[in-house]
Amino acid sequence: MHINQESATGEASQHGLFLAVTAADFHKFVGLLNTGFMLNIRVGESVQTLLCDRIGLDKSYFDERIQTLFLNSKPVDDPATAAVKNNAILALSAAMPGLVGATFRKGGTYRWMRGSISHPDDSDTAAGKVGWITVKLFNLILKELGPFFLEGGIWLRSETIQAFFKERSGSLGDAIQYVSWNGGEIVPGGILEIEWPDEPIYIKIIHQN
Amino acid sequence: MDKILRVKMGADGGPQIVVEPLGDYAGMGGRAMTSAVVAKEVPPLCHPLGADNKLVIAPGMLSGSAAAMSGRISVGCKSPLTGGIKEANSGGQPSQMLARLGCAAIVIEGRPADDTLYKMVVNKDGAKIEADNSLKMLGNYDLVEKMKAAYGDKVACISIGPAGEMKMSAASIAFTDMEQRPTRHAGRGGVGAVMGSKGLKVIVVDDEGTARREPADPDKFKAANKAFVAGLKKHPVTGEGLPAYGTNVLTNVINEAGGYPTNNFSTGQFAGASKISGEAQAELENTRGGEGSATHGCHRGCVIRCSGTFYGKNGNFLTKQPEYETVWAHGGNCGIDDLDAIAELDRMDDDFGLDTIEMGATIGVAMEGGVAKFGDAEAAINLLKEVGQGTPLGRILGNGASVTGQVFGVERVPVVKRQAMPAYDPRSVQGIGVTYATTTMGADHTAGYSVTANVLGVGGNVDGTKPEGQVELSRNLQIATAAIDATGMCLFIAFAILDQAETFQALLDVLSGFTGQPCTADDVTDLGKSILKQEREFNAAAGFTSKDDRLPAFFKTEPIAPHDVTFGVSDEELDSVFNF
Ligand code: SF4
Repeated sequence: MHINQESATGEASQHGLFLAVTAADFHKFVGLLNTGFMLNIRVGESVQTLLCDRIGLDKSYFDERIQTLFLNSKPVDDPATAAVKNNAILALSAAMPGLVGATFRKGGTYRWMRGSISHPDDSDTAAGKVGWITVKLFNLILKELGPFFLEGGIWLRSETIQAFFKERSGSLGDAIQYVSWNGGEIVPGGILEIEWPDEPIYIKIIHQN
Repeated sequence: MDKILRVKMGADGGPQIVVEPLGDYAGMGGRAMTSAVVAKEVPPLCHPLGADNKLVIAPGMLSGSAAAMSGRISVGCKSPLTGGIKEANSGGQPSQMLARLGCAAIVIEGRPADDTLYKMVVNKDGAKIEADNSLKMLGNYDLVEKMKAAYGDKVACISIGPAGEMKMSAASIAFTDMEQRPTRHAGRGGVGAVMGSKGLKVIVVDDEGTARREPADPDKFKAANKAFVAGLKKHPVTGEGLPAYGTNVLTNVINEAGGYPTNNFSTGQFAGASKISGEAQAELENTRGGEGSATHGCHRGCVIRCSGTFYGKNGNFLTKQPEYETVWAHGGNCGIDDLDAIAELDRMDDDFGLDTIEMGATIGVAMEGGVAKFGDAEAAINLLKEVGQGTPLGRILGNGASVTGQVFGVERVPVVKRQAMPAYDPRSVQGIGVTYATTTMGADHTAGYSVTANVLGVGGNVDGTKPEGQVELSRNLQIATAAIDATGMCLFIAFAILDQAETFQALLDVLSGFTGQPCTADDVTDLGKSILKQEREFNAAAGFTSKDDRLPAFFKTEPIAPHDVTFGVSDEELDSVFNF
């Protein structure tokens, strides 16, 4: 699966990290996404257009599994009309327990209990321009879509990548089979030696048997 | 369940146990039983720690049967924390075991003549009580080890730690889990202090030689129970989310929503939330304890299994998986983002016998009062040690957020009816604020936890767009919750019965199959309403007025980031919650 990420922005990072890892250990890399990752968007497109039409999420998965969405911390009731703006933060979660969890469900019976913070349906005047969005995946959605996004390619802050490999170098063992940094192959241990630039890094991880 | 054990602590010649038939309390269980006994037998103006208060421990109506999820137990009394009626609910093994022993309630009343400490044993041959001062000031863990050595590894314990003996208003009552550890607690409202005031340290429950409670209509019951379990398993919350991550799955989501009270309710988002999230916690537990460590039941018969096991850095058992409210209270609310420190605090709470929500909220208030710095985990651990040791500072903290706020001159004290507010900011989620303000229990997130009005058919379809809609939702939720608390069912079944009409019907059929009586949604509603009415009447007689059904003023005057909202439900709207 490939995420259709246009490189039409001059701000896009020229730095890229590509990893091939063992299939059995692929899930260990999902932790890279714990604090969120970045994608290109077309400003003004709806959450649903972004995730289903451009990124290619299955519509029934989107409708049924992703029950809780936040755009800039505001619960979204209608993803087909909630428009994404440049530098927005989009968080995706499965249905949540508890009364308060239930209030955040899109269009749920209890949505009125948090009415004062709901995301307004809107459109954006800068529609059409390319921009950035930060995506956070939580709980079952992280587990299920994390691999999809890692394989498709995403942008991460360099500190996030650096901290992940520093903290987990011991537990990743022989999971990493191949690494390329900025187009050139390096040894797996070389990731810890990279001098990370202070800008988002394009990262893509595939698994192989 | 055909009897009540009445423990008369002040009887001439020492405590006596009298076995009584159910009488007026026939057919009741859980919160229906505890609130009925307290409302009928406890003088509302009595001192909560005096001889006139009674402590009632009651298994749910379905406990001891094969009904899934039915092992919850209720503890009731006049609360030393709120001064009103209290029902605190717990998991653990004792509910099923007491029910199989035929015991619908243990009512502990009176007060012993001196400070002798007692232990009680209930088994198939009856119940007995004896003095045992060797148990004084033991932590719950050491106490249970001692009971295991004396009574074997099959018994369950209901006990208090040093906090209960010191009659602290944050003291809990511990119930042992499937591994005979004192990890499940009736936490809220200082019920442990009432047990301490009665001089009762522990009740040992031994159900050897008893059988499961059988339903009146076995075929109907069995088929309904099967459908009920299938409904729980197929729902994404009860079948997947809760088993995988526990209730702490809420941390990331509530934080993202800006409703995560941080640094004593001063802001709505915590920078360290992802480090203490359910996702991070489950990964840590499964890494340290092996795959599956993050999924465990708090009692036999639970099919959701929202709990888990937390292993320390050394790989040894430290505590059960801390719940969302605990992780919030000791974590984000105190600016602490270290799961190991939070687990350590949870273990200490369980050992001293303290409510984790009250203690986390109290330490947050103390931090605001300058006693320690937000984010200082070591200081939080030291403060909790002081509570366990009963130092002067510890005694202040052990009496909760309200007392602590007063002592340290803190204005932002997040309590209603003197009970600390749990992990959801009522400015971001105004509907929960209505429940916090108006519940009979003091700020309590579980009071309005369950089932939609539209499923139960209470008062027709709610229109939440109108201001009164929030009030109506809260009212209906409180009614349904009170009813579920009476069955012995875990409230977490709510998510499946909320979304799946057939699972709600299966629950009604389980009840009807067990009792042999018809059971409709209206019956459940009537049960909930009658419990709430009794509780409201008790509180009114104890001196509560509508002025007590309010949130602290700062929620109306201090906007919370990131949404910059204040609590906007009017007093008139709050006063209409109990118009039924
Ligand atoms: S779902 Fe959780 S709280 Fe409820 S009975 Fe099971 S383990 Fe206990």
